Amino acid sequence: MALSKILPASQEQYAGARNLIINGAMQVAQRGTSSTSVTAGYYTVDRFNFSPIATDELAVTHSQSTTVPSGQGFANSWKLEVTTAETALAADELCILRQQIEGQNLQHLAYGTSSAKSLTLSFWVRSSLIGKYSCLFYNLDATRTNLQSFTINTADTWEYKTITIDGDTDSGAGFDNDNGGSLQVAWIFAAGTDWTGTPHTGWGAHTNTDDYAFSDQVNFIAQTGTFYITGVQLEVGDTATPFEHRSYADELRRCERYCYRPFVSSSGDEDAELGWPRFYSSVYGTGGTVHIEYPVTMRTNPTLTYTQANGTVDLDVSSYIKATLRDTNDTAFFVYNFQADAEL
Amino acid sequence: MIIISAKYLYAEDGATKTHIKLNLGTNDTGHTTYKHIPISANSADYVEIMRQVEAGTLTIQEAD
Repeated sequence: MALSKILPASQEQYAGARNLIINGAMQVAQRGTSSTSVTAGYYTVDRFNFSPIATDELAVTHSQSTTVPSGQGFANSWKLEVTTAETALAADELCILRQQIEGQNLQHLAYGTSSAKSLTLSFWVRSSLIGKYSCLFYNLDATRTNLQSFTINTADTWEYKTITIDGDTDSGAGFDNDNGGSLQVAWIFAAGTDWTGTPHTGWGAHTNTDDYAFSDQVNFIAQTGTFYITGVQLEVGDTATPFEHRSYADELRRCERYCYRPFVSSSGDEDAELGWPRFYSSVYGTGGTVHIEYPVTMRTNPTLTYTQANGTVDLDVSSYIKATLRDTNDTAFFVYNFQADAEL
Repeated sequence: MIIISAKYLYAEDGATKTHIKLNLGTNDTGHTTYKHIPISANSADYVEIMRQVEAGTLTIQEAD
């Protein structure tokens, strides 16, 4: 019988489930694979929020891409393509990609104590524009930030980047132990002068005018071009370890805590693969009720989007474990094109 | 997102507001798409909707 090896304490960080980022390999894209929206929100790969703020010329396509760094085991990346440039970056304009992490998933970092742990962010990135980009770590509970940067050295070439930050020992830096967004990691594509100034070094109290981005960073949206990112990993410690590849099913379940889209058909019509992707009501009193159970407990009571045929739902007694939609006047109706969204 | 109309949904007691229901339009087959936003400060969508209400760009009807 082969003996098992016990990982020494010095290598504990190599054990599984060490990546605090969800969908870092950009595998899951429940909402769609391509979008041209320039309104802040979640559009393509799950858990990553693309936020252009106050832009008035910018046109983009952001998408789940199959362009990936060779030999690293990735199948997808997130791609931003600027199709119409923001030629004049106004003071209030900002453009970022971000992910927020729940506070209850960060308690082991011991922020706000003398034992606060350092974090290392690693990712693969490729951009048509060389130069300095800002990367912001934002403690949303304490309104404290740690602004870092990375440099694209060669245009249109995949590069591996790592950033290590110290733990925040400030007594007010603890993360709330709840389901709210506590830590945000953001990649900054462009920032007007309202968002730049003289940032503090390391962790410190945040002001948008000083600490959101470096004033000498590139303005990626000032010209047409492409930016790709994948293999995003945030882990405890001062060393970037190899990316923790998870199965699609594992990553999907993690994503479904924040967004559940049970089928891809938007028409509700018969589909060769999906059958009839509809949820039919069952009779309930003088009306009908549709029940849709979520595969995992959602972060909070989600926003529901659906299309309804026959009648109108007038009572919603849904929770974070299932949707319960009642139409008190119609016994027979159905809904389709369903989505539950509990994103941060 | 184009909002055709917005109104409150109430709990079974008929008095407690539970959601803001947005009508997002009707498709070619006569089916209407809706969005239910929970009335909760923990909902990013609710925070955004209330920002629009406070800015005067959206009015929420009490009921049908």
